[in-house]
Amino acid sequence: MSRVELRGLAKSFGPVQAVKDVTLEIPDHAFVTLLGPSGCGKTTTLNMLAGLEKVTRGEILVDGQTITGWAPHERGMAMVFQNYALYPHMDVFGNIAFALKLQKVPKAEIDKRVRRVAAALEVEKLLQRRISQLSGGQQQRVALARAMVKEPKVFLFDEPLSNLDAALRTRMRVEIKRLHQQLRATSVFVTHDQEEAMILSDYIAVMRDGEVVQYGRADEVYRKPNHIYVGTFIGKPRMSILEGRLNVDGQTGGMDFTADGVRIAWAGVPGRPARAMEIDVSLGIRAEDVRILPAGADGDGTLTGEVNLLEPLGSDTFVELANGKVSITARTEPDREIMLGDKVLVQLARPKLHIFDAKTGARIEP
Amino acid sequence: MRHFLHTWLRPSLLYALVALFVVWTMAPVVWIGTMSVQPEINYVSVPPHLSISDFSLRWYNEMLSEPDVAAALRNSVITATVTMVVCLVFGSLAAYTLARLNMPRKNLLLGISVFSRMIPSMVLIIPMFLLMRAASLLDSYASLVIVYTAFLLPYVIWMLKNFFEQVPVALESAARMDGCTRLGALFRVMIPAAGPGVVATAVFAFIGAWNEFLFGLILTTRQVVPITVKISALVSSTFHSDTSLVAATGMLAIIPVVVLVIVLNRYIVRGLVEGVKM
Repeated sequence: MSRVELRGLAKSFGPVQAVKDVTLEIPDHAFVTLLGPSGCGKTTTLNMLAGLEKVTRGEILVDGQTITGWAPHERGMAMVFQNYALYPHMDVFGNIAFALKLQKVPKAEIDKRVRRVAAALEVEKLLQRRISQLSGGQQQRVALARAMVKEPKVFLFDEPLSNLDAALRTRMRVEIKRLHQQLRATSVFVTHDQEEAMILSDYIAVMRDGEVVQYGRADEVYRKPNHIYVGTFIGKPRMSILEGRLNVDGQTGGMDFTADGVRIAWAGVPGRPARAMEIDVSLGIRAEDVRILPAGADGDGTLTGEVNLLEPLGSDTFVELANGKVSITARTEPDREIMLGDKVLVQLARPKLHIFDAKTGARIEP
Repeated sequence: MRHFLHTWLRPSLLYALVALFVVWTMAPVVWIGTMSVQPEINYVSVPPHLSISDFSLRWYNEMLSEPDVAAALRNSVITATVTMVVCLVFGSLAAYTLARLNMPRKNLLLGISVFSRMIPSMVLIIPMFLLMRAASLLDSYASLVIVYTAFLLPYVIWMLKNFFEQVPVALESAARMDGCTRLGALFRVMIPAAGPGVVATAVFAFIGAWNEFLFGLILTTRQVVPITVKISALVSSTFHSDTSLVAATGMLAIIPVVVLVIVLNRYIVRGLVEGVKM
């Protein structure tokens, strides 16, 4: 089990800079996800970590030792690929045993180790099968077994679930999580699916254009996004964003937000000064932080909107409200009687607000 | 009417065309086959008079007991096999480079190598002869293998490149993670994974070398004369005036290739029709 450090990692393909400057510290035992849309450099970063891509600039360390120039198999890492990448000309046993055979592990031990991981992943009955005879889920298990049998210090996952159908993906996700809890091996997982990232990870690195925008504990990245890009990328439904002007009273910390004729105000507390400002902002709020109030109620940070879309999920219902050009999504209990066209009063609790600079997108704390 | 056209007429036409094509290509072979088991008088008479009772394999026996013909067959087997192996070794290395590695102007290189094959062989006879004589390689296996490889390699590279490109990059990455070098990944994973394609290419190279005539004629005199040259010599020689003997030799030259294709048929069809399936 190992601590992994990436220091100023960069990769260029000719004139294209795929990864610009990635610095990450991955603690021992941690499950870290590189999250971002396709083309953000997450897979390239993983490939550099694996040794499959040469590093243009920067350093990779495992337990304090530089391994930047090492061959892939010298790094003590194992990788699970997007399309499983199982060897089609070998049976399941051959696939799992391949790395051990190359290491010249004695035959009896290969047999023992292969059977042990095959049993752990419930593929022991498939050992003599050809790869083409396996279902997608079985192939995924074999791919996991092939990685596990090497007893690697670090597991690397390159979007391993994206080829599975929704039901299977949910199941394999749980299995990967359980596997990590059992083995406690340091793991780096690449995905574009924020839900997957939230469920699996201890830490998330949100990437964009070859750079890490935010790196932190998964809950922290969700609760306190440092950039509007992170705030809107993570979370389902997407964080509601209101573009407008924010006025903060330096004396009391009272706030006043105006956008397209809509005004939302939060009272300050006398004697608790804040950073005074008047600035264009993007005001973000998550659906679960929008409270629906009874009609006629009064409160801080309230806004009335007309229901123009209902998304009942069974466990929750998402309500989309509009007031002029302002649009907000709120989560409610499914038994709440709200109809299309209703006028609804909602409250945006101040501690739950995410205020981003309209120009830079960076988080602002008044 | 549409239904009739789609379900009956169109397939029937297609089959008729295929049947015509098969007859067109197979008729000469069938005719030679017939000639090789009948006395000459039966098929030179007009109309031909073929009879089961005259069926005999004695011309085959006679040819096989002729030391020259047996030697020519052996020469062809050796030359074609060695050419095939050499083509596969160099071809797979070159094809891998073209399919996978980042190399400037690699498509230009491939273009030049394939274009070199547009030059008619006739033009190259004299320079090849002079080169081989200068290298003291005339009438040796080496001369034939070198020339055949030079001519077949561009096609082999081109075919293998296409097959390799169909193997997912991740498969090779997985092999490298598991402990293979790039070269190890090529031989342990890429080539086996592209199996049907590689077999199809190998058969292509073997047949190409087996059927070659022109350079075999120019570069050999006694020691390594290939079967193609031997047959032509028989046809034109006055010694063997019996056409059935020539036909039997022709059949002997065809049989190894036919056997090869039948044995590997499954792979050839998969390689050429489906490509590499992952």
